[in-house]
Amino acid sequence: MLLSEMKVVAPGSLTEALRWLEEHQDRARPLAGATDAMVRVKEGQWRSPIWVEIRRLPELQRMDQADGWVTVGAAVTYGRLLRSELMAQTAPLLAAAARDVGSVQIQAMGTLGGNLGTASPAGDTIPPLFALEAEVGLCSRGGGERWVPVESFFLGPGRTVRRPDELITAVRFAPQAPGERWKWQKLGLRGAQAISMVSLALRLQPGFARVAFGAVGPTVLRARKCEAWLSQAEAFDLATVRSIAQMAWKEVAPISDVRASAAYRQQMACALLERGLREVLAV
Amino acid sequence: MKVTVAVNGTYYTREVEPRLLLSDFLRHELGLTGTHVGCEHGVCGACTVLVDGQAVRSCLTFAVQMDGAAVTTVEGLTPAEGELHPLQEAFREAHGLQCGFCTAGFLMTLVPYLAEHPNPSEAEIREALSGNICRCTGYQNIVKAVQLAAAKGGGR
Ligand SMILES: Cc1cc2nc3c(=O)[nH]c(=O)nc-3n(C[C@H](O)[C@H](O)[C@H](O)COP(=O)(O)OP(=O)(O)OC[C@H]3O[C@@H](n4cnc5c(N)ncnc54)[C@H](O)[C@@H]3O)c2cc1C
Ligand code: FES
Ligand code: FES
Repeated sequence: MLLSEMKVVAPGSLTEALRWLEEHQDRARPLAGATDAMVRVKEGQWRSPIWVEIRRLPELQRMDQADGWVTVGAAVTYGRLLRSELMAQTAPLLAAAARDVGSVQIQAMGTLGGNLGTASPAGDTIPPLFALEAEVGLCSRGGGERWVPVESFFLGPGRTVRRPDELITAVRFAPQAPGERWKWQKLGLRGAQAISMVSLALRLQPGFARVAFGAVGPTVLRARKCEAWLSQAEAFDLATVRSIAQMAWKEVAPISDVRASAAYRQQMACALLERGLREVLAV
Repeated sequence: MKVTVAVNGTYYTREVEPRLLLSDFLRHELGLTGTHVGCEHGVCGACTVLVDGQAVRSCLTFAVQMDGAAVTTVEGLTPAEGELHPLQEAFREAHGLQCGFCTAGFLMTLVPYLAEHPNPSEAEIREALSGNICRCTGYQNIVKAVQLAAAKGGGR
């Protein structure tokens, strides 16, 4: 298949990559695993005269824990996330979502930074990052580094606060507590390689709850009323769990598209939350 | 743009257009037509090759992204002409193919998988090949072929 003409540059360092973005602004676009970019280019979208290859930049490969933060580089692939001992210990929620992305071939190339860059409300790493209250690291040559809370990073489908001269360098978050209950769920049209119709990242500790839904709004969103009720509940019986799960209905704002109707998504948001809560609370 | 890739153990340096897909590079530049192209949208898995030992979709990759990488195609599975890889042998024995269009993609997905998981359960096998589509076999015999290869310690 022949694509329209373009230029691909392969800078050897972060500084060099940032220089390309600064000099060419809207005419240059980062290229990581290409699993979204290639599909869009073939569909005649995302025409960019210059693609700046960043997949192998050493500065974007980190996965480490220091000073209370777990930091994951933007070019870390799903394959690395789901095999990482550090992720299994500090962010099993994120690792579980990585396991549900695409197929092994997509997991080998697709990156965390690319999932954020595409900014689909159905991006599977995003609900876990909301539930972890992660921060997105952005870097430019002129402005240096800034960290943006993941909830303010997204503006709408495909839209983020990233400036054209900036690169996503990493995400960072506080580790999940050792004994906390958590659950990742994804509802798609088939078991594998399906885009989420509804997804849910759930974290529970005594007096603490995080509920983040994917694919039921213009961006991933947190169900704050459900979170408040969950963190205040004294005891969880089936009736309490059901009534809290039903509140999700009002908190989500889905659209109808080829994959599912808005009403179905609303019902499924409640169903996923109920199922997840019943599983982690054993009620 | 100049690109140097080791394909099946041989280094190739070529001047290519940046827009050239890895799948087209392999098929048209190098004449390695064992890698098939189906959907060209990353869905069917027919174009799967190994890049530095990992299964990736060559239709979703630019050739220039492979500079310095080691690529293995289905042609590189066997040491010599006429011989079969144990997994290919198992596909033949268990009737894991009919038209064969999808087969190279399945093999290239499963070779690294079996190396990492030598004794997969049936459910695990089905999950491992969920990114590959076959229009002929109904998958049953593909699963059996993988089980056969695993039982014989094949895969490698
Ligand atoms: C068959 C198939 C199945 C898929 N299944 C799923 C799925 O189940 N769940 C899911 O969430 N996604 C899925 N995807 C989508 C895709 O694989 C992911 O979104 C992936 O994370 C994209 O990463 P990438 O490295 O390939 O990004 P690329 O395609 O290289 O880039 C994507 C976008 O992000 C920008 N970008 C990339 N890196 C950076 C950076 N560091 N800084 C700034 N901008 C950047 C690029 O400019 C581009 O706009 C699937 C795709 C395919 C083809
Ligand atoms: S041809 Fe590459 S996945 Fe279908
Ligand atoms: S054998 Fe024909 S597509 Fe699989």
